[in-house]
Amino acid sequence: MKRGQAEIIGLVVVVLLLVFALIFFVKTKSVDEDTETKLIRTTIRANSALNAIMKVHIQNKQMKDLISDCYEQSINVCENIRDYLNVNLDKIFDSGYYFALQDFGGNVHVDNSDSINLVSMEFGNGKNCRQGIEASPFIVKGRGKIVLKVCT
Amino acid sequence: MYFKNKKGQLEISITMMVLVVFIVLMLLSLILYFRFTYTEIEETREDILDQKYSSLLSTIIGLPEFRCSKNNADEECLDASKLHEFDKLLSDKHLDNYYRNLFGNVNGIWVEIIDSGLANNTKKDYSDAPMSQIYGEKKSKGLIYSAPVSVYYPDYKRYKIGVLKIQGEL
Repeated sequence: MKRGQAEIIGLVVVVLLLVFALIFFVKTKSVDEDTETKLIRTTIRANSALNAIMKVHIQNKQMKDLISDCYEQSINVCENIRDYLNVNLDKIFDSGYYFALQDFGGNVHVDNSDSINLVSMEFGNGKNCRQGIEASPFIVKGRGKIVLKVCT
Repeated sequence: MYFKNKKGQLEISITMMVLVVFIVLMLLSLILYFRFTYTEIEETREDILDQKYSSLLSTIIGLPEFRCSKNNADEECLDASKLHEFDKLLSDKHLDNYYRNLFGNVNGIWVEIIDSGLANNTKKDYSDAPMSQIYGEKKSKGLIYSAPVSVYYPDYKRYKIGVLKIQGEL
C-alpha cells in the first residue's frame, strides 16, 4: 500500500468516527425527556381530577357514594359509573389516562354481593403509557382504592 | 524546472481541496450548532411559560374570590356563583388593574363545565352555563394550559367537573 492510500484510509476513518459521533449526539438530543415542570403540572392535574371525580354529582348522588354502591349493591351502578367516566375523562385528558377500582391487592375486579359475575372496573388507554403520574389513591373504606394515572 | 512546477501545482491543489472540505465541514457544524441552540432556547422558553402558567393555575384555584366553602371551611373546589359574578368586579378600574397585574399577559381565563345542566332544574341561571369566562377572552392564537377542577353550585348543593383553562401568550 502506498503512503497516499494509507493517508486517505486514515482520513476516511476519522470522517466516519465524526459522523457516528454526530449521529449519537443528535439521537441523544432528540429523545423527548419530560421536564420537571411537566411532571409537576401532571401531578396537579391528576390529583385535582381525582378530587373532582369523587365529588361530582350524578343525578342525586356523589360519585364516592355511587362507588360504594357499586361495591355493595348492583352491577348496573358500576356500569353507569364506567360509562359516565369513560365519556367525561376522554374530554379532560387528551394525552391518555388509566382509571381503576382496585382492591388493596391491586386486583381490578369488583365482586358485587348481588352478582356472580365480577365487574371489571378498569378503563382508559394509559395503562402502559411510557411516562405517567398517579394521583394519590382515594380509599374506599374496607373495600379498596381508586387509582387514576395520567400520561404526560 | 518543469517537474518542480508540476509538483507545486499538485500540492496547491491538495491544499485547496483540504481547505474546501474543511470549510464545508465547518459550515455544516455551524448550521447544526445554531439549530440545536435555537431548539434549546425554544425549549427553555416553553419551560418558563409552562412554569409561569402552572403556578398561575394553582394561584387561581386557591384565590378566595373563586374558592368554595362549606360551613366556613374552605374546600378544594371553585364556587360557580362566584365565577359567574366575577366579571362585575372587573368593571371597577382599581380592581381591574389589580387583576391585570395578578394574571399578567394572559389572553383569557375560563372554566369549561364538562357535563350538562343540573337534573330537574327548571330555572335558567348560572347552573346551565357550559362555561364561565373569568378574565379576557379566548383568542385564536396562544397555548392553552388546563387543570381539572371541581365546581360547586351552592344554590343546588351539587358538584360538577370543570376544566380551568388559561390561554397564554404565543
